[in-house]
Amino acid sequence: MRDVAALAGVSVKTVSRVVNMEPHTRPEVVRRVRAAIAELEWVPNAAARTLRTGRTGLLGVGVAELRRPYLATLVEAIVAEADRRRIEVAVEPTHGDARRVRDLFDSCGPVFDAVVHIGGLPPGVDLGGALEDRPVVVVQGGTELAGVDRVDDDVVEAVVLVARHLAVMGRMRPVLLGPDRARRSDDDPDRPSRAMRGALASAGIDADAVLAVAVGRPADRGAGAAAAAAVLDAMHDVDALLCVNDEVALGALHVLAARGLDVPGRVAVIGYDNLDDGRFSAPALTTVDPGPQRLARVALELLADRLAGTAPPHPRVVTSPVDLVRRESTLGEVLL
Amino acid sequence: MRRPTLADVGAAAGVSAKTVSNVLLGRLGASEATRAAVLAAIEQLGYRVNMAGRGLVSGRTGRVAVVVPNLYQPYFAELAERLIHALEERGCTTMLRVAHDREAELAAVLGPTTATVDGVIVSPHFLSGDSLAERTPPRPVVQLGSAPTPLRDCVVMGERAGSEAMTRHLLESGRRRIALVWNNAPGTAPQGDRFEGYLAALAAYGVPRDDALFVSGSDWDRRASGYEAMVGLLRQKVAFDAALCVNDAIAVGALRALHSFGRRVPTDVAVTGFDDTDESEFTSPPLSSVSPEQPVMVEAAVRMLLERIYGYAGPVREVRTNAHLVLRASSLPA
Repeated sequence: MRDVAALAGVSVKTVSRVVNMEPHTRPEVVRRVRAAIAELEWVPNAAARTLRTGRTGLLGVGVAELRRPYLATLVEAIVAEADRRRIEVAVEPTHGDARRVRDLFDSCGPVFDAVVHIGGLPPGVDLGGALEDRPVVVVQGGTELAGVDRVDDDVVEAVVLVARHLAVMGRMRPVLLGPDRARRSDDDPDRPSRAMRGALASAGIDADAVLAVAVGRPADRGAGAAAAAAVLDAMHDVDALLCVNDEVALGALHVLAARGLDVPGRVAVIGYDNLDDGRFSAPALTTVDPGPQRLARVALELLADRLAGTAPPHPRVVTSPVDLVRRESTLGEVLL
Repeated sequence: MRRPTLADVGAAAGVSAKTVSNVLLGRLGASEATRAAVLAAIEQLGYRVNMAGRGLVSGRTGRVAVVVPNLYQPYFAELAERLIHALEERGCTTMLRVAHDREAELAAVLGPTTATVDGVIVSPHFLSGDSLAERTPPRPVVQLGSAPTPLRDCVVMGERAGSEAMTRHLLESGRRRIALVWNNAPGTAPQGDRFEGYLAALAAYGVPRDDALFVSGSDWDRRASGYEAMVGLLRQKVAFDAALCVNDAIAVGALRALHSFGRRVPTDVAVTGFDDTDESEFTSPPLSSVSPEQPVMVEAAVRMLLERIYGYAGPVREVRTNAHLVLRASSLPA
């Protein structure tokens, strides 16, 4: 590959990009690299491209359901990334059912070359052999998952960004609708996670006074509306709702509008996921962008290395950065 | 526990194993009541078709490709999930293809990217009937939605009837200047069943067509397109008292643009969508929409595909499904 790079006058990385048909390479550079490859009669290392040429050429994607808009967005990003690598994708809705998830992992080998699982694993699912026998990557499965390659959004950074934004804007009495994303299994379910409590305290908010209210399942707009209504009935001085996802936040906005309560004048609302829906709600929704395209790209890179045998023998963990998207539901009317 | 067999399902449903097989394979002949009894018995016993056994006999893979133009539109995400489940009930696995352009859609239907499947269910956006005229797909293809073609089995959504009923609803509630926020490419005229339904309702009420009321965004189905199209309409200073939007995503963008420009919905402008997605109940105000009855469409598409896969070679069929109005606050009378 070095010889190809030298002849084409580009970096080895650029040759790799062209060979792997990655985007963002200028057409004339692609032409130059292809010409060099042809002239040198260079053949890419087959092992490094196993994912495209494997037995079935099929990637299984396990996802709880496609009707949750964020999950659909993430699946679409994975499909786009797989398309770019000429891999076909079969999507299996699991509804968080242990049997379905086990079936999916057991299909890894006979049916699928590899599996991407989105979200946490239901209890009773064994990942034994996930590294060697069956390449599996878990995306946004929670930071406590062990023994498997995984990529997560930076949930700790997310709670820091949210807590600081609240404090800066003078919101001192927030309530959580659903758990915050940094919650761990040994955290108190009625309280913010330890990470969130630390972030709130650092920002100057009395973390001990902040409650986490349960949201029904699925955590959709309807569940968000019901939870928000209960909070507004019981806690009259709440000045911010921190929601487990954008759907719950959009349900909360619906209830606030129905009750004639000004957002953010009376109550600020923050979601998570950066759904397209939240850009066009009234008011537009402040949210955390977990970067689904970046998560998808990392997941496929982890799998490609695992299949090519170039990955280390231990599980790899990638934490992907997040971004706070500030909009009207916390800022008020913005002139941008 | 022993894995339930075809015979167990038959015994539970009170029919022969052969009849169970006929229902599973989507063969013609079983009555609706028998079909329901068999499907209930399958559900109850947790019966799963042994695909390996089936493949050994037939050379089939038991895999069906589902092709949608995107998943970011809730309509297509819902549709894909319903199709995957309906196919799973018949023991088929699904390969989901997201075809972002005409070439990808054509490749999925013609085979290069779906070579390992027994059949294809395509919910097309880019394909028109004639783009397949010269080449015959190498495997059964059923089309779900969009304009029907005599080239393949089609499920035709109640687009014209739904659009006409919604336009009539706006006219009945006193609206006369009904803008179209549409999905035609900029510089082209609106067309298709939904547009025809709109025109038919106007004609029935003696309201003249006014092309100054037709706008579209730069993309066909994004919320941002509805927003920019509505901004364009507002800047033209054309009077209008309603906006019939081609789908819910476009309507959500249009609602937000009206809000930003200080127009009240529904007092100043009534707004309606199409698809009745999960989102429509929670917009501000909640959005009136047309429900295309997805479960019925999905059932018909899966049935026709499996019949083709298992040997039905009769003439091309067309199943027309209904649509009904779901009225909410966005189109209340002014």
